[in-house]
Amino acid sequence: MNEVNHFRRVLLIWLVASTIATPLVIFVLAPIVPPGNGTVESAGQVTDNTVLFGLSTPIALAVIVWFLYAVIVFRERDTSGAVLDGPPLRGDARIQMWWVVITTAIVLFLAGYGTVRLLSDGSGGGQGPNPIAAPSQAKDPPLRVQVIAQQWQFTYRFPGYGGVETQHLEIPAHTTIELNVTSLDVIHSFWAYQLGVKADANPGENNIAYVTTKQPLTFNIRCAELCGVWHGYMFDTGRVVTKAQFAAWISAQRLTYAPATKSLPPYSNTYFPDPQRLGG
Amino acid sequence: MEASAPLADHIKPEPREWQLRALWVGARMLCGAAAFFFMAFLFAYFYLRSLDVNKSWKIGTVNPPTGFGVGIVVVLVASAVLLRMASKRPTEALPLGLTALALALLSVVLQVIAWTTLGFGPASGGYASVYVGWTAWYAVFALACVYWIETQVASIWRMGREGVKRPRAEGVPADDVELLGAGLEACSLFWAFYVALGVIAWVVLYLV
Amino acid sequence: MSAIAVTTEKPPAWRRLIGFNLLTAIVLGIAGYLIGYWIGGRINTPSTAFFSAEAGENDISVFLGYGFGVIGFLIGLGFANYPVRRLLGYPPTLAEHESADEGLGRYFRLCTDHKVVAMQYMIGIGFFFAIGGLNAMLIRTELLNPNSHVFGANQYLTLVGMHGSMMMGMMTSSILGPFANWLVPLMIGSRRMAFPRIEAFTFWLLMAAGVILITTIFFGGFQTGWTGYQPLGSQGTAGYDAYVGFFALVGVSMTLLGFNLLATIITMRAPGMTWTRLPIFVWGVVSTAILMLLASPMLAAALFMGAFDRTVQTAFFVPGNGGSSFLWQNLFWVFGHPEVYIVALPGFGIALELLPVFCRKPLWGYRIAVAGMLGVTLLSFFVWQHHLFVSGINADLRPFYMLSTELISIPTGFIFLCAMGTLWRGRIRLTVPMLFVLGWAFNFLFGGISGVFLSDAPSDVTTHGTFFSMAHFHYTIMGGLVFTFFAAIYYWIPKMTGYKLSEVLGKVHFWTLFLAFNATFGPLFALGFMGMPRRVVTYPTSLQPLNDWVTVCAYAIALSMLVFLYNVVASLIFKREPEVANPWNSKSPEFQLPTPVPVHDFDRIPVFDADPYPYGVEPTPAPTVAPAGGTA
Repeated sequence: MNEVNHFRRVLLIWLVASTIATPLVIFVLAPIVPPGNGTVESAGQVTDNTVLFGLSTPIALAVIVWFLYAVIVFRERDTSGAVLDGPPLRGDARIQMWWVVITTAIVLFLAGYGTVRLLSDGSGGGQGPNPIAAPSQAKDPPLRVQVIAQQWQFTYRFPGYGGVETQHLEIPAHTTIELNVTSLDVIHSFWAYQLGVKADANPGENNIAYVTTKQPLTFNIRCAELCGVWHGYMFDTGRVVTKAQFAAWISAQRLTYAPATKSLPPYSNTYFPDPQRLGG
Repeated sequence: MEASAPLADHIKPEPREWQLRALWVGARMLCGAAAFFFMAFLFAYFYLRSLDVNKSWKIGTVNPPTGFGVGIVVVLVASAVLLRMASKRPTEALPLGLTALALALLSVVLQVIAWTTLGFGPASGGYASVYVGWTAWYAVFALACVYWIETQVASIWRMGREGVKRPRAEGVPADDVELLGAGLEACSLFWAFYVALGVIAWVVLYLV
Repeated sequence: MSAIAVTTEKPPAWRRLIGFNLLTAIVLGIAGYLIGYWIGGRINTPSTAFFSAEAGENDISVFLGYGFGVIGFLIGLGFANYPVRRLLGYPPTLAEHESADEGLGRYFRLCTDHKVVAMQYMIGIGFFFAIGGLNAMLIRTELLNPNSHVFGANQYLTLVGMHGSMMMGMMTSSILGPFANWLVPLMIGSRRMAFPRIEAFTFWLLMAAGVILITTIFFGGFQTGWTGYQPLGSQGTAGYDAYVGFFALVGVSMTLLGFNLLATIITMRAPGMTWTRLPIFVWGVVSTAILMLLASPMLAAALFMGAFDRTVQTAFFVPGNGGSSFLWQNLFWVFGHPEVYIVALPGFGIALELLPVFCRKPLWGYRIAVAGMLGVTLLSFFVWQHHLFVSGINADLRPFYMLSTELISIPTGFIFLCAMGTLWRGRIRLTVPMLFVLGWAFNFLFGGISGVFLSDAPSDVTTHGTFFSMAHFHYTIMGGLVFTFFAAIYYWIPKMTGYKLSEVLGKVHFWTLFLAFNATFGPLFALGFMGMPRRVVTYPTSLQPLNDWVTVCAYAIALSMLVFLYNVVASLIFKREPEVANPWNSKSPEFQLPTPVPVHDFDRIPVFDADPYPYGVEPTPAPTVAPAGGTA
């Protein structure tokens, strides 16, 4: 078979495979693309991941189809006879140029798309003390919640509610939340899966992440940065509740923790507790 | 103890430039590695200073010993200049080299004395940490350079005393005089670069 | 054949044991450790410990113990002899104990023959690779059940840290150590490396480092994983000092290994071996060596800062006293990212070197392959903050690092382009080395694509710190480097030892490893997407079936390694069936030499005048390397 036919065959196989596989991947995965559509940021990540899946499938298939075709069709059948060489093809400037152009285009598209995605609402990631991407604030300022990580538990302080510190997290639906994540000892990471939020908790630093909630839901919180022996047990469950439920909950918490709140240090973006603490 | 011996007759030796070129290239590459090593401390200085975590860049009064700093830098620069001159002037290489060696050792001694008279400890904040860490490792590698300089000076001395006795042995392409010249050039170049890194450290730690 | 005069009488065996060798080194190493530890005990002042977990531990003793121990070890091997001679002014020499008469004893001491050092590396790295692999099996065993635990929490984390550190510390040198040391001089037409003693030094230092890492278990282990994050590292037990000691020595070893290889390739190419005629494997070595030379010192600096935090109470990484956890993260990853390319690039070199041989065609796109490797080397210094997208470090820079990280996939893609071009219209033979190269291609493809997911900052928000990123780097490092490591072993061991390896067992090894590997690490992508973070001992019960499947498949990986081990032992130690000088009909210089390759490699330094891949040219040109033995 001559050169052109081989290449056309590969192209055909690839086109057929991609046309079948790409929609399949996108639609089969659609309901389970992480992290789910629970919040605006997580839905953005879902779109992003879907684009990535959709783009990777034909690319992976291109390489796999090429390799498999070559290994099957160009295999030396008679391995016991004399060792014969193939044609001395050393390269082709045009093919190389097209390859560079196409791969660069794909990469630039992905980088650009990712940047647009990232800057539109921050994508739920921790952005440090001076965030540059926040979700568009509809009318009200975001609800500020501080996430305090320590070995080996997350606690939450609400500066707008008397600085009360709670053991579990409940946040109102249809609200933009500004999470201020910090740590008291070592590096942790606040990861709220269904919220699409992940922000490292650094001691002495404030890390801000935004999330805009939608419907009420339950979310899993896990520590995503190794923080010592009980890192694996540093998890919790949080809830997005209706605004009314949230108001009721936070009042109840303030009441319960009123004596404790009095002895807490004043609310601050970072804390430097006495260093003589056991850990590790 | 030495296991090399003249090559058997049918085995031809390697080109003589190889070892000379290896020394030349090696010295310059080592400069790169040294630069990257101390770049980490340079970065640490500016980073911790800009972050000023817990307002603890300097806890209490933390002032570097400026007198010692100047002294150490002057001694280092003199040593580097003298060693480089030794490399360029074979006839005066021994006295120049010896002086350079003595000065290099003196710089380390001065730094040790400086540490013992510091007005602050390593736990006195970010600046103190960077100061202690940077000067400590600079001194450690300076001692390694002192070893290297000593080997060059000792080689000059021994060659001057005993002359060139060995013919080109197996595994030693270049002859001993060429090799000594190349070794001295490599050593003096690296030492000059290392001292330049020291000057940068001095500027950052003492002047900025 | 020997270049050295033959000695007449050999002293008795027990007498030959006394001298500068491994035995002496071990004795002096232990003595040194005890001396250093004792000195540290005299120095220890009551420290203003930041964390009371440190109470009762003397890090200065541990560090001084390690330091003196390593020095004693090196003195015992004979590494101090030459420096002392140089201090006394004697002229430099290049060779020590290279005589073939010394037999196997050369492998247990300081020997400057690059082929001996390469074999030492092979065995040494193989040993520590096995330990790292064993740790992995224990980790997976722990993860069989989220509620019942095989190991204590600290033991588990130490296993995790030891596995990662052992692999990253040892396997970075796994191609350059054994294979580059053996092949580079032969491929460029030189007899030795530029600095042979340094070559031997890098090996023995690496061995000392490995031993130090294992001693972490005697000091309480370390809880940080291989990334050594601070301030957790300073907070924990003195086992962290072992981690610091290990990586500091690995850093020095890597710096010098890269230094030596670069100096050799730059200065010692035989006449006619121009840069454009260099075998692609050597280009892979060049690109890796540049990274080793420049990136490793930065790791060493970061580690020394950590050591100071633990001993003299500096505050590089302790926020309360002016330090920053961000400082460690930046310094570690500015090394750590080039480090993973140190692990990837040799694999590229091996794959592209072997493909021409088994496709019987020249390497397609030689210059673009070189451009790809050098492009990866250059870009790898500019991407490190993609490990820190959600860390709270300056958010403005994230789009830049996203771009630079995505860009690095372009030169990586060139490697695949050249592989695909070489396969096209070849006459492909599916030998065991070729199978491993094809396995590399498949695995690295998925490793690379998952890398694109991780480089996309929004996507990274969910996958950072999860099993997804674990799967990504295992696909690129294990699926990439380790597969090419085995390709290299099956390809070059017959030349290095002169004996055949069983082809049947080789194929069994490949297929079990390939299938078990994909069955183990493929599901980890899913586990990451489903919310399982890294380095945890427990997970939601719903994830248990998948975890159990992964563990069983991991055991299958171990079984495949046992097949390999059996092959090596049976073929090389017991059967010893001689192999011809050029079993693969390769046109590469090293295969034109007789087997075994003589100590001095070439009788006469060769002159090269042809393209490194003269396949498909009719008539086949005679190899231009004059074989040792005096002909041509």
